[in-house]
Amino acid sequence: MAEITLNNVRKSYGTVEAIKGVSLDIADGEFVVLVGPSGCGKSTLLRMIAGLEGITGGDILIGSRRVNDVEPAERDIAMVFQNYALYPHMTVRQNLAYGLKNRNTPPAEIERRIAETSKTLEIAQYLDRKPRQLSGGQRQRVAMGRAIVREPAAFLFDEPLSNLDAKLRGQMRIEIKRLQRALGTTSVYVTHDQMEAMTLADRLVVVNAGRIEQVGTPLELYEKPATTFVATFIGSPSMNLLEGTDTSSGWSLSADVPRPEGRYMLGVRPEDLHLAPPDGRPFAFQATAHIDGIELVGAESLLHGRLADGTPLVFRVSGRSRSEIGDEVTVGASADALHMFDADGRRHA
Amino acid sequence: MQSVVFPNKVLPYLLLTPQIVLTVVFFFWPASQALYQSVLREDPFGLRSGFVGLANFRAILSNPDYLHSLKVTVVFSLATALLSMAVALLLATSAERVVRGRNIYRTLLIWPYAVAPAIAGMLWLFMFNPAMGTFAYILRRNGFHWDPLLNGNQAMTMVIIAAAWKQISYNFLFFVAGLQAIPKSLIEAAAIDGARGAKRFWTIVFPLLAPTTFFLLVVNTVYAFFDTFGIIHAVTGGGPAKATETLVYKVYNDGFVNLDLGGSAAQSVILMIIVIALTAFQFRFVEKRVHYS
Ligand SMILES: Nc1ncnc2c1ncn2[C@@H]1O[C@H](COP(=O)(O)OP(=O)(O)OP(=O)(O)O)[C@@H](O)[C@H]1O
Ligand SMILES: [Mg+2]
Repeated sequence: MAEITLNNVRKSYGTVEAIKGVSLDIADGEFVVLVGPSGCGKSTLLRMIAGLEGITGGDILIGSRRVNDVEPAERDIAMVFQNYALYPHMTVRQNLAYGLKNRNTPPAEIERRIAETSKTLEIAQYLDRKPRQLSGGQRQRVAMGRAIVREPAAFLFDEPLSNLDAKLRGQMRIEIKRLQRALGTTSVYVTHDQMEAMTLADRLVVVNAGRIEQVGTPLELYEKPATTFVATFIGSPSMNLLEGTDTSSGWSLSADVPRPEGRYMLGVRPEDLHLAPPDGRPFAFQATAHIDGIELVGAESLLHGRLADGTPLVFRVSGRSRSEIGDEVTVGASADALHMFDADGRRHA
Repeated sequence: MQSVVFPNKVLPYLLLTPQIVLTVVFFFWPASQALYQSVLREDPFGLRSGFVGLANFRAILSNPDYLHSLKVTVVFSLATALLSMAVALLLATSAERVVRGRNIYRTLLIWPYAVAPAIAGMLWLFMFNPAMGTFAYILRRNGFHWDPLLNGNQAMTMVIIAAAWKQISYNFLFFVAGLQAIPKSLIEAAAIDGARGAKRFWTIVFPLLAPTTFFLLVVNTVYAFFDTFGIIHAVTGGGPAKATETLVYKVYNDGFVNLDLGGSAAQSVILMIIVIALTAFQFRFVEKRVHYS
């Protein structure tokens, strides 16, 4: 059990700065998910916490101990790798025991922990198999087991589910969350899948180009994105962004909606756009779009349209769409569904 | 398998001819000659030869010289294989750790492989020749009685070192490739699992290198058995007192120096059987080779 603190952490590869000053406090027992686009530095950050990557600047503390120069083995963390990294020449049992043996855990204790962990993860019947005799999902469980059996202060996950099929991924997601709750172990989880991020996280950390864009609960990030980057990254399909200038055409905003001075960006989520006002009051925001694409996704349809100036606009209607490609449709949103950003992409209070 | 049909009936055979001719002339022909000769005995003047059945083989296998040579070969081959592999593995693991100039380091280590065996032998001979060798001089000045021309063990040590040196590059290449094939995340997982240095090497890296190591063990043994004639010929000539006379060297010595063609041919046949056995062993292993996934 431990809290993890990052203090203005930096990482450079030669002249390339991969991590540009990251500060983050992770509470004891918290499940924090790092999410961001490919190449933004999530893995680098995680590997720096693990000690697999050197730290160029700043401090990392695990349980109030500064670990900048501490070996990975002495940081009391366990990591689950994307490719599982199971030792192919050892049986599952030996894989689980390896880390404990290296720490001179008494054999009886090792036996006890392996029995317990393999029961929790339902891998008891595979204990004497080699990793190559297991399916992808079973290997994933063993990789989890190897982390859990050590009873570390923190778990680090680097996209552990990305090699599984969609169904299994969904199951494992729930299971990881359940396990983490039961064990109460501080966890840092890296993913680029925002759906996975939203469902797992106590707190989400959105990383972009080596910097933290925003930290908050999934709901906070969804409802109050701090930047246009977070606004478009969280939520699927992405939030619509419209550039507000004097000449913008195809949409209108009622005069009583507060907005930033000069140029600004207006964001509205596809699910907040409606064909008719749900509460009968007139829309604060209204746009007319020329429909050029319709996707039926189960219980609802996604309509892709373009405004008069060519800006794309996506919105949802429940069930099958009554509009067709080529139609002109007017949609609107109420004032509290609008997100205002100033010209450099920061949220306008 | 898709069967390929050539429109021209002659061309394919024409294209195959050079390879077939080479194989027949340089492999099947000498091999069949060896088989044929091995059951003949020539009269002392080399005028007539007569069929003697397996007498040559019986003579060889009951000849203490031959059994001595077999022992010399086994000692020489195992020592050469193990020494060159151990040094190559050490160099390969060190090369992994080199950050700057890694490629230069690797390239330099591959060069010895391009040196012809006889030249390699001469190099070592020059360095350790008791009369004029630099190292021999250094050894003697430090009170070590170095005389490979009289001392059989020292001669053996010298040819083993020369033969092993020649093979280090080859082994190094395979070990470097083998090390690179080990996924980096496995090493990282081991680091997190608290295995460092020698422990990590022996519990993770070495077992994962096992297929490479085994393959090299077979290749090196075959090398030491058959490809070291040049080195032995240049360095010791099989001496002193047959202390470094390996089976291949004995074939040459008995056949071309002592002109016992029948006996020499029978020895080559036995050697052939040994190669076939070693190769079969190797193929069996390669088929069952460990696959990581
Ligand atoms: N060893 C390295 N040498 C140089 N640059 C590196 C190295 N490792 C990572 N980088 C760079 O650092 C940046 C962050 O990489 P990182 O692996 O952390 O990305 P990521 O967020 O995990 O991406 P993904 O989702 O694709 O895994 C990338 O731009 C990458 O090119
Ligand atoms: Mg990554």
